[in-house]
Amino acid sequence: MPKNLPFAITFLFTLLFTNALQAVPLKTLSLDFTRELTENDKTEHITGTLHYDAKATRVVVEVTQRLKQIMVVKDKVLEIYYPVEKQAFRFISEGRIPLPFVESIVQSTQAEHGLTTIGYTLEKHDIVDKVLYSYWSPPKKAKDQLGVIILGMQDDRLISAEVKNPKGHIIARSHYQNHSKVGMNYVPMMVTSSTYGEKSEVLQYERVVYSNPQVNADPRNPIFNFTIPESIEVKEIKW
Amino acid sequence: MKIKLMSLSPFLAFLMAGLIFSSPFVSLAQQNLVQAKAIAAAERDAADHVNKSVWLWAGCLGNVVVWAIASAYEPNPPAVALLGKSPEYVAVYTDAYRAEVRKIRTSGVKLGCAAWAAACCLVYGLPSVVGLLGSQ
Repeated sequence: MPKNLPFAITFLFTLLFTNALQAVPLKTLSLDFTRELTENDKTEHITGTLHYDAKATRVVVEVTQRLKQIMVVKDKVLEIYYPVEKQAFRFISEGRIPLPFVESIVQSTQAEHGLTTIGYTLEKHDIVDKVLYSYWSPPKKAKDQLGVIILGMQDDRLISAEVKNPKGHIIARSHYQNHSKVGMNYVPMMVTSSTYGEKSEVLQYERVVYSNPQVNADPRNPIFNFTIPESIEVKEIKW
Repeated sequence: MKIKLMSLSPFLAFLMAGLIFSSPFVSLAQQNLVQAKAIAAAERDAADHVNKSVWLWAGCLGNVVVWAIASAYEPNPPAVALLGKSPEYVAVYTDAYRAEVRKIRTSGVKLGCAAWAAACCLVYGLPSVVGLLGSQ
């Protein structure tokens, strides 16, 4: 028996085990975040934790600074709770509620970045400087409201996204950096986005830095099951 | 020392009174600032999100029916605009956003209706006027 066989077997098992771990489907994902939003030369900082329940497709955003706020998004309902002020809002929409800065993270864990789920179709693709650019057309029903989305991929990682309006003008551009392998996907740990006006002027600049990713944490964080306390009066608004 | 303090006491009393009575005005000013910010952001976002030309064309084709839809249909404010904002801001922003979207839509539809009415007058009214003038 060769001397290195036990080591080789252990090494092989470690490799297999690591791969098996990475292949575990995503159940829950929690990330700390810091969001900087610059608008009209003023910068606003928000810090908190983002929790995503993949099975329930439920997002809980727990803001801890500048103020305490818990935002829950599930399908067509958005709930906002203020634990200090003891106030709550419930917004019920006719359509699905998007939460853009959260969606960049959530979408990176979904096939085609969730674009096919919301009705986008792949129009064409192009390779420039080892970056694969895919062009996505909006659903026919929403062509008056939405424009083409161009995604840039490099080494299985989403590195850029460009959103155009129906007239073809760029309205938003995002860059994804510092990718970290979370489960089977590469999740960007830094996302910078700019939104543009009609004259291509920058309206808003957003920088979100994520840290401390926790995948399928056990025991499960109770915040995933958060509901507004029954004693709180909720202001309900139907959209 | 005692004399000096005594001479300062009216000034200190005024200062204390000023501080006590100014605090409600400061909080009122802050509240107004939050409201002003929320309204400005809501109006800007509404202008960005609503395609006025679509409602103008809809007004041309659908007239009063589309006008009713534009006034009654509740628009969706973007959830991200409410992230990290105070309850006062959320309440003011939501109301201002819905009001502004409705205003942009109905003004588009009104313009469309007016354009349609003007076009109808030109198409149907002008030949009759020309005919009348010709017969005279």
